[in-house]
Amino acid sequence: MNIVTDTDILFDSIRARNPENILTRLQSVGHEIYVPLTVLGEVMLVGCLSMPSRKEDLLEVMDYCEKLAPSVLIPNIKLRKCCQCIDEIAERNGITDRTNLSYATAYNTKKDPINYYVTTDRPVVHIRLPCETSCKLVPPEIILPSMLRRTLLSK
Amino acid sequence: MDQTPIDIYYERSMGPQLEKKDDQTMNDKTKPKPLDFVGMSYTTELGRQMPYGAVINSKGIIKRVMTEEDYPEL
Repeated sequence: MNIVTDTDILFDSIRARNPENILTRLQSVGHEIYVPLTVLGEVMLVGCLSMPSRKEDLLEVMDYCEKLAPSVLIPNIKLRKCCQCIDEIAERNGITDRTNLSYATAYNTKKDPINYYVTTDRPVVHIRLPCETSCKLVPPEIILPSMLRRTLLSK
Repeated sequence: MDQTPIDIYYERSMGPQLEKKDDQTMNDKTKPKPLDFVGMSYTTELGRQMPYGAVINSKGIIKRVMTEEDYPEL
């Protein structure tokens, strides 16, 4: 399965300091982890500019990414369309965290679908993505880490 | 020999990864296509040449280049 992760999941992974954290476990059983460029940007922003300083966290995320070896998603033409679509829904639902989710839909193709977008942001989990009607694609499932753990790691 | 603007463009976009052969000028035939970027290190210049996006691995290597064919809905 292809899984796109939100920023909090990366930070939680280092906080847990646990070899059994969700991203490590998902990858160890063969799932592919994708990190949008905006997630790396947020990690950098929080790490560099937070007061008190969280530079240690930034270094830990870097070390963690070196071990986890996720793939990084860069902006593309489809992302613009996805941002607009998701903006419309987000306005109605009061959701603020949109761009990271848009990366998951922008890289969701028929040939190589993105299956899950994992986030700790509860309001996002309840939105219904319009990928089916606008692009004839099965949208990625937006899922909380606990649910993803149950779905993919409980066997 | 002095570098022409094309030489400079070529060097900046490809870096040392693709060596330009003598007497080879960059035109539509010799200019690398986005799919040729797989296996190269990601640079912002290469990023501009991949409008449909790409997947980069954790070592900064371009792992997959997205093309128009991936996005029939656009």
